[in-house]
Amino acid sequence: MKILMAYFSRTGYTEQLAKAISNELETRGHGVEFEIIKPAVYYSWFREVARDFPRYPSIAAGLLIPAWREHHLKTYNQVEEDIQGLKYQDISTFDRICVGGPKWAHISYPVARYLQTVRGVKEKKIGVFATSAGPPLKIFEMELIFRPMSRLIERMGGDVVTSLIISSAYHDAGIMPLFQLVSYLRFYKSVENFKLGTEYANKGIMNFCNDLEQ
Amino acid sequence: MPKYSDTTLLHASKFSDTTKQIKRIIYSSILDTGFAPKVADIAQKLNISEEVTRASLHDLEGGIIIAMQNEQHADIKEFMGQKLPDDCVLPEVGEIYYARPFANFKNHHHIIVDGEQKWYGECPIECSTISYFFPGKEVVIRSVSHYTNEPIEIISKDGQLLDYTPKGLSIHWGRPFGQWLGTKGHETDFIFPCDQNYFFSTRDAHEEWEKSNPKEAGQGQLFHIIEINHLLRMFNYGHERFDFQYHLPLIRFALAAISTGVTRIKMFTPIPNLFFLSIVKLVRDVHKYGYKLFLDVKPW
Repeated sequence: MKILMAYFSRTGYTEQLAKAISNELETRGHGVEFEIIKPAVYYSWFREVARDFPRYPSIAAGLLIPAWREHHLKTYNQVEEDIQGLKYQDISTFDRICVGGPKWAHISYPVARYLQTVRGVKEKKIGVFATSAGPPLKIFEMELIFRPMSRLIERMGGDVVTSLIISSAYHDAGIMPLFQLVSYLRFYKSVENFKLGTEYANKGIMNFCNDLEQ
Repeated sequence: MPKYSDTTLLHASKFSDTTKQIKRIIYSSILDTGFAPKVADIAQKLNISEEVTRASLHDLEGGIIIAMQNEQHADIKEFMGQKLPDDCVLPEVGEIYYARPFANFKNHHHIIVDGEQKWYGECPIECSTISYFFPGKEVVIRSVSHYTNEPIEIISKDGQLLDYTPKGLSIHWGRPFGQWLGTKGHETDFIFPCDQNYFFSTRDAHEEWEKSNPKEAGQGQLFHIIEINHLLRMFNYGHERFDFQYHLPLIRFALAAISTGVTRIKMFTPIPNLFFLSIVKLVRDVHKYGYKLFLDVKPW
């Protein structure tokens, strides 16, 4: 199969994950082409984070109240930012598409713009992947990125067949001790156990590729 | 509206007209040929004595614009952890070694403009805004990551970062300001501060290197390429002009404290990066070793 691997990476962890997935796909005999999503301007992490500040109280409320979470995910305003020209504006010639980026508050802004810009998504089977600072928490990490991504893709007629989130165990804002604590409380183990190269990541990549192949 | 204020609150010192002319000659030569002229040629071109020329070069060195070749670096075989190319000719002692952000000899920091590669970068930090010297053009910097030897590439335009590969690209800033002039055995050695500035392809690569070289790594700090670009974009703005000297735009500097890594956030608390605090010692050392402080302080 001809597969497109489109990703945005800011600090290199998502790039490592994209390469790990594409290595696995290539060993299975598929051809992988890369689309590196590049923002028009590389802003500082603080400026990027600040653009989503107004939505933080709503995210926090959503963690406590499931009904609010549903409401938030349906109605929040996704921030986007300009991206540089794409190599593959029309992706209809690919058999499968993989789209990934870091998990910011929700979808990272360049990926959000990419999903709005790219053409030829209709009836495509798509795999979405992400890296997050914390462990793979279902509500705080996975839902907040994959549900909006799936909604955007499905709105364009695409079909999200699989998803994968890996921890980078790195956060620019120096709040890793907080994520470590959450990881111990929720999974009884360190965030390091969810990084690339761990059993969790290897299994996740295998499952991701299996789902994508079907 | 100009990018930075035209009002200067404080000129610590100003370059003389001769010094500005010399800077123009040096950088014109570098942009034309890739290399800086010899001191004797500069003196001849301006019809001044070599002594007067060297006094101006001394000022340019104190202004962190150039660095002169010295005994310690006369026979180096490696430059920033990489073997020098076979056809590299190092400048003789007393000649220009660096004209920041350019190096006056062939090395592994290749600068490519319009497909042409005749310039060499001085250090990873200065390289991040080298495109100020080629207004309106995309400048590609190709180098290698320290320790892992992976190829790295930075594309920038008018000082602004357009792209970088790999995405984990970070820069190890080898020596804090306090060590620049005052380190024993390297007093007034303006080459020494940059000797341990390295590119690293990923944070993990830097961590591995740190473990195997704790002494060397311990003095410096790792910055992401975006942080360094934001920091240098501010201080190097206008570097291509012959009358350039470093400036400190107070308000902009304060606003960009986090994005430049001058302030780091730990658990939601902004903490000043101690790495930069030793700049006070640098200012003291500048005086101590008979240099002038060439710096403009601006409101914004």
